[in-house]
Order: sequence, then structure tokens, then C-alpha cells
Amino acid sequence: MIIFDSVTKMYGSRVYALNDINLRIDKGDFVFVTGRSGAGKSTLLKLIYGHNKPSSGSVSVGNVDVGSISSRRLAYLRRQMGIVFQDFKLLWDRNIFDNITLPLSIWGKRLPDIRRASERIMKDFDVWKLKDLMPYQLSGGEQQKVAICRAMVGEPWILIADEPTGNLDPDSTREVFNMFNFAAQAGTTIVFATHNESLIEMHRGRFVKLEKGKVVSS
Amino acid sequence: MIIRKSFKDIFRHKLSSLLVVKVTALFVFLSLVFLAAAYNLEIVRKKLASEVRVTVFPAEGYDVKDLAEKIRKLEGVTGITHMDGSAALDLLKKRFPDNEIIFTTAVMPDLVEVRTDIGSVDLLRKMLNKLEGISDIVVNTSWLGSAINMLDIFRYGLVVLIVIMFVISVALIYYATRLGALQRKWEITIFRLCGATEWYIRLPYLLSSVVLGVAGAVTGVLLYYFTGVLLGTAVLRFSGQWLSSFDLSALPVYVILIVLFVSVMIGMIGNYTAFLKTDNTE
Repeated sequence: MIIFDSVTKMYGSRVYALNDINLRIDKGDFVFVTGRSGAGKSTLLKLIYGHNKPSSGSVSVGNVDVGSISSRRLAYLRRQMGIVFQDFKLLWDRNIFDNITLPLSIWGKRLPDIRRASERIMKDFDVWKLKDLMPYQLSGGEQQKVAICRAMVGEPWILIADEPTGNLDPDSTREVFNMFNFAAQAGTTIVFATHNESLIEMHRGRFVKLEKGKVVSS
Repeated sequence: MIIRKSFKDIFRHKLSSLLVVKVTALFVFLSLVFLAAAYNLEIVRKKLASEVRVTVFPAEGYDVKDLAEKIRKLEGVTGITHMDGSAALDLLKKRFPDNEIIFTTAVMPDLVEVRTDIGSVDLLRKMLNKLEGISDIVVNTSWLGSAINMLDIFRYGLVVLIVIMFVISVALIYYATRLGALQRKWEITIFRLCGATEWYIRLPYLLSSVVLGVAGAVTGVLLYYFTGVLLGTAVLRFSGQWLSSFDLSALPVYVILIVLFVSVMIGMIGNYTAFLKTDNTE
């Protein structure tokens, strides 16, 4: 589970990105984090995957205090997470297969295991046919599908998505959302930041609404 | 795996990799050329400084051979030859019988030629002045002093050039690798998010720095040998016997190894510092 205990995050000495957040996300939850731009959604996610440290309070992920662990332990903690961004964060000089298998290569998995895991997920999400293409040859929707496959290939127990449909058309948005639903059904904990109204209407799970760095409803 | 990744990184970032190799090669090549020039100038300087000639003319009635023996025992004398004037004339008459008339009217003085080094000239002159049986002493060191001063200035100039080049090379390597690191920032961020440890990110970077440093250094040494052989042969051909009499030689191997080591270290330190400076993904 993920626990925010009185978490405040400040940028500089005056700007409060998050202010005294107390939040608990249980294993298997599919949580939508909503709010306007600048409400603190991305900061909340960054605290979960340890990109930022809280100014005060603590964030624990699976009983590990993310703000105080070493960079090595943080690297291993991130191996239990899949992270998806609005700008896809694909490597432009590698083909789709290499992009999707990147986490497994980094973790030092054996090539047959890498092939098996990646083939399964790529076929599940109909990406297998794109495996030899380069990212710049794909549409935005396809690139995001590839990014989600990369996030899920290591079978993480948490999926973190920061506005993953921000650059997509409605059809691609629906397709991407279905991928997250698929992961949720498999028991993955999902923290999904968005301000996309159509998605919010489609979501049947829990919402955490942020306003000016504070949780206004959960 | 890490080694393969290092090599892949080198080819993936061709522009910055080539820049590092070129700068390192240029630094090594120019350093070796300047060092070789300074090294050989020192040889020439030593040779010139140790070959000062003092001509001593014996007084009337004194035997040149005896005088030469007395001078040989003086401090600072590195070599000595003497010439009997009348014996020398006889020799010339025999060698050039057609021109005997010239040598019949000519007079050749007896003389002793003393070799010493430039540091001992003044002391030797004082000792010669005290010696009996000498009519005149001729020491012409003014041109030699100027030549040695010129060589010294030139040599120090080369050393200053090497230092300037060193600073420029470090700066160039630093900025070249900074460029490379900036190119990789996107990649490094993604690696981190995928759970890469610091060593997974830094080790290939360090290894590729070493590979690039060694590649640049070896290229520089090869260039040095290639141009050194060509230039050396050309210079000796045009200067004839004059330069070859100084025993000009290539740099000792240990100097080349030191330059190689220093350049690889420059490459590595420059590279890694640039990496750390750029590696701020927070």
C-alpha cells in the first residue's frame, strides 16, 4: 500500500505544491487523482516514485519510506513500479521491441525470459506488429501503448500514470484507458493523474481531488 | 553486458565521441611534438654549451706541445688539440704541390685549441692568464651565449605552449563530454525510472570515457610517429650532416607513456565531471 503521512512539498521557501496531505492507497486500488493544472497531481506522483522528496512528512510505498532510502534501494523499489507519462518518454534511437524490453534488460534478465515476457504483453495489447518500428514511425496513441507496455512488462504491483492521455485523441484515450483497466483487473494498484473529463466520467473507482496542494475529497 | 553497452553508447553518440577522440588525439600529438622539440633543443643546447673552443697562442720560444700538456691538466678542459704551424705548412705543401708558392710565403702560427663547456670558460681563461708561455687567448662565446639564450627562450616557450594546450584540451574535452551528457540526459532519466542503479548508468559512461581516451591517445601517438618519421627524415636530409651530429632522437618511451596516461586521465576526469555536472534529473 501507499501511505502519505502529513506530507508537505514546497518548491523554494514559499510555494506549496502539496500541503499536509494524508492519504492511503491500498493494494489493488485504481485511484484517479484529479484537479486543475498546478493543483499538485504530478508532485503527488513524483513523491510516490521518489523523483522528489517531501519537505516534511513521509511517503511510504510497501512499507518503505521513499523519502529516506538510498538511491540503490530506490532503484530496486522502482522495479516494482511502472511509470507512464504524457510525453511517453520513449528512446528514439531504439525500436519498439527494445523500448518495451528496456526495464528487463536493465534488471539483467536473461534473453529468453525477456522475449517471453515482452511477447506476451505485446500480443495482449496488439503491439507485436510494431516491434521492429521506431517510435517516430508511430502515432501518439501507439507510442503511449508502447510506453504502457514498457511500464507493465516487469509485472509491477503499482502503475503510476501522469496525464497519460493528455496528448491523445478520444479513440486513443479510450484504448489507453482500457489498458489500465486490464491491469487493474489483474490486481495492479493504479494511481492515475488526469483532468480529462471524459475519462473521469468513465472511471468507476476511487477519486482523490486536489486543489491548491490540498486533498479536497477522497 | 556493461562493456557491450559502453561500445553501443560510443556509436550511438558519434558526434560527442568523435569530438573527444579528436581533442585527445590533438592534445597527445601536439604535446608529443612540442615535448620532442623541447627534448631535442635540450640536446642541441647541451652539445653547444659543452663545445666551447678557446684558442691559445704560445709565446715566442715556447713549445706548443709542452704548452698543450700543461693546459690539459687545467680544470674544466674537456678536450685539447694542438697545431705546430711550420709542420702544418709542410703538410699543406705536400698535399697541394701545384700551389707550393703560396705556402712558401705564408706563415702559420702554432696554436692550442682547448674545448670546454660554457660554464667553465671564465675560470679557464683566468687560469690560462696565469700560465707562463702564452701570448694570446681568443675566446669567442658571444654568438654561442646568444644562441643558447635563444634556445632557452624557445624551449620555455614550448613548455608554456604545452601548458596552454593542456588547459584548452581539458576545457574542450569537458564541453565535448558535457554535450554528450546532455544528449544522454533523456536516456538517463528513462533508465532511472525503469529502475537502473547508479552504477548501471555510470559504469558504461566511465568505460566509454576510457575507451575514447585510449582511442584518442593512441591516434595521437600514431600521428606523432608518422609525422615524426616523415619530418625527421626531411629535416635531416635538408640539414645534411649538421643536425645529425647532435644525435637528435625521439622521445623516450616513458615520456610517451606518461603523456598517454595523463591524456586518458584528462579524458576520464573531464568526462566524468561533465557527467556529474549534467546528471541532475531532479
